[in-house]
Amino acid sequence: MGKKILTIVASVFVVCAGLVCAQEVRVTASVDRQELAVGERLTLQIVVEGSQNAGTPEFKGLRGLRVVQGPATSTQVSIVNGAMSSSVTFTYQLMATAEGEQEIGPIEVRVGRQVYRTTPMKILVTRTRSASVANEQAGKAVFLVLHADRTNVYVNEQVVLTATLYYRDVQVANVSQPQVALPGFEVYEQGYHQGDAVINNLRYRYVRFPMIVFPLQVGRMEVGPVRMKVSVREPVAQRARGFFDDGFFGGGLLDEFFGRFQVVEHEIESNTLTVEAKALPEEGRPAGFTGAVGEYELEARVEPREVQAGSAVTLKVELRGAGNINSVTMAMLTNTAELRVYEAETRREQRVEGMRMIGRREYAQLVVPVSEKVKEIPGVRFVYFNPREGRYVELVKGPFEVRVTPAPEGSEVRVADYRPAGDEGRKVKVLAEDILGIKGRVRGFGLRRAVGEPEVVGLVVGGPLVWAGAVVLAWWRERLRTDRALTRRLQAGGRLRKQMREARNAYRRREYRRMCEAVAEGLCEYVADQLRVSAAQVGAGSVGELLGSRKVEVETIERLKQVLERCDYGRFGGVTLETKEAQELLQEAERVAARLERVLR
Amino acid sequence: MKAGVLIQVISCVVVGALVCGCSERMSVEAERVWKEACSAYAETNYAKASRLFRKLEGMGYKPGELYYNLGNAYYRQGELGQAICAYRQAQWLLPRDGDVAANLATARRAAKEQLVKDGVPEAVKGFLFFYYHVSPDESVWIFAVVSSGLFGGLALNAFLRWGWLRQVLRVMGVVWVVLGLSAGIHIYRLVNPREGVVVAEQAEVRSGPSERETVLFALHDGAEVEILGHEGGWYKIKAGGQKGWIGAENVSVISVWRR
Repeated sequence: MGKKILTIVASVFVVCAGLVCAQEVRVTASVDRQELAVGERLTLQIVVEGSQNAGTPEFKGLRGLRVVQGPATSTQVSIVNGAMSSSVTFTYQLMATAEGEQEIGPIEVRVGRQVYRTTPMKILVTRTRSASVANEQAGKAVFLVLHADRTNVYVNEQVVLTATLYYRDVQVANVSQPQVALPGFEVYEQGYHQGDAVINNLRYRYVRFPMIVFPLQVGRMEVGPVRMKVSVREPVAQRARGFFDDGFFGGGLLDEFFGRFQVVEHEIESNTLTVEAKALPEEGRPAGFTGAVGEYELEARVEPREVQAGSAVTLKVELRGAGNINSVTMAMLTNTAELRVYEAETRREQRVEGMRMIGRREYAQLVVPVSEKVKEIPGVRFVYFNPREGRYVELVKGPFEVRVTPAPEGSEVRVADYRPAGDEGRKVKVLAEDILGIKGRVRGFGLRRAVGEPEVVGLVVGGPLVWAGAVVLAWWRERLRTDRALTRRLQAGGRLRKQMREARNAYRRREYRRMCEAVAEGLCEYVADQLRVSAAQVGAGSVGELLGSRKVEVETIERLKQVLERCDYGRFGGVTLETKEAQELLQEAERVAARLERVLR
Repeated sequence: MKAGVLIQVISCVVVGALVCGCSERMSVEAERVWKEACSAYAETNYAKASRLFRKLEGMGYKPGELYYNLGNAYYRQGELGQAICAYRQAQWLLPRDGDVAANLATARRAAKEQLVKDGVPEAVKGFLFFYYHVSPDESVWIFAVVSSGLFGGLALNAFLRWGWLRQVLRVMGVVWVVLGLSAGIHIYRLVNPREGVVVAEQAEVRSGPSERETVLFALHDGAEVEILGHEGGWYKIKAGGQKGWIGAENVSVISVWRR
């Protein structure tokens, strides 16, 4: 009996084991919140479904977060309708160590021989504890949170303020741009973006409104609260119940269908923040510092490097980098005894890259060396404060060597009236500004309009024509190379004429046998080339049949036959033709050849 | 041998065309007028200078330097609109000339309305240098020369199957298309000028092409406008985002087309 029970237990175990083995393994990871401040913790759970033999999870890339507790392991086995399922859960506590958008995962879990990976998760870590404001508010249907990426900064250093609207289980509409008064800041609004976030195990939709701001004054500044109007679609709370509201008709369904909801406009308010803007350090501050804060690069060049005295060169300066480029000023060149300097033309661009304000500022300044003694154009210098490193940085480009040639003999160096550059700070009122002088010579292309000029038309139209001609020529050459029959036909006439010349020469030399040979060869080869047959196939006997198919008149065929027979007689008959006979034969052969050329062409 | 001859012929055509394109000189008479105009300007006789520069223009000579000098002469006479128009013409023909840009900027600053904003970023201009930094003449000449080189190369390629030649021709083909587009746009703009400058002290812009139409707003000497159409003696214009009709006599069209 005991043996029997043992066998049953063993069987059940084997079947269960088989069921377990047959289950599909799935590994998932989840967190209880996706936003937190530096120093705060979140709970990470890794669930391995379908197996209890999972190894300890391994973190492959944990950025800005540190494991401070775990793993705590729990297992679960359940049998429902005979189907057994099992899972293992690993629980960790992670602490945020760095601000920014951080990442968890992928996390690797070994089950048997197989390794499973979870999908990576993004976690937003803020410097301040404003994220915890969100956690405090969690549970509400709609709320607004304001946070700053940093609250202790230098004056004119970038701060990213973000107003985030969270909502769940309701529909919101007509979300307006958040209203916030920011005295003492220069503000650049950056639109908005939407997404999902988990706060205290509750899933929220959010709308973020980031703003890049630059504190313009030193001191503690209160930021917020941010106010925002939103329309929330809510179910109608109290109302009389009617016939269609009973359970049978499904009141909820009718509410949904007939729209028994009301849209309520809410004005919601966020928390406040305090931003402290520190003064830039006095220590180590270089002369000429104008208040630029950020990280910049400087490039400068002078064009042209060789110039005549009295003519202008252009000093081009490009300043680019991260920071509030709008507030940056740069000291350009000022007038000296040897240099006349015009006011610099400036151009600036500003854009946002990865929530950093990036800018570029270009200066172009005309500088006129008055005499050939000028050997160089002075350099430019820019000083800024790098808040990340907490120090001043000085950028210098130049001086720039130039070669100034004397003005032409007899001409006086005249410099147009100029607006004194760099005098803005001295409150000089500019009464008028002047233009540069006229040009005495006309250069290069200027004298004519190219459109419609014969040379241009020739070049533009001639090119394709030459090409088309070349293509046709190449095609014809190729055809001649590959089509032997065509080549024979095209060359037949030339060869016939050559043989007839040879016959005439032989006649003059009184070599009548040779003359007959040349006439016969010429005529037979011509007929063979035109009819695309071998020359050996053409003779006095066969020529009638061959030419008959080409609809050549009988008279011509007969005359050709006679000529060929007489040639054969002259060649192989063992007699020598009389001069008169030879002459008649030659004349007749020439007439027949001319006739054939006309007929067979 | 034949290929060598063909290469020589193509080279001669290209070089000859370049020489022809670059070497045209003013006639003796035109040279005299030019010098006289420059002298008049130096003697501060700006009215005479502008008249002589215009005369030269009437003789068919339209170099960028002429329009630059003409702009200077008008500026000195206080004719801001005519000056800006001439500078804009000069800038079209001498797009890389710093003097033209400087004087145009000075003249624009003096205008009451500064309606034209150059919206093209420098980076884009640098990338599309073959359009923005090249004058219409240069553009057409470069296209013509590249075109003859390309088709000459294609003609060679019909006989000589050189691998490197095909690679060069592919690159030239791309360059040819780009330059062709550039030259085409230049020509289109030449033939269909769509910009103008107000040359009257004050010009009223109306809701229709008639004196009876309502006055919408007024423009002043030197205001740069976009020309949208033409009807009778009126231009339909766009200035500072507003549209309206202005008398043609009040606007000088920025054009350097000689025919």
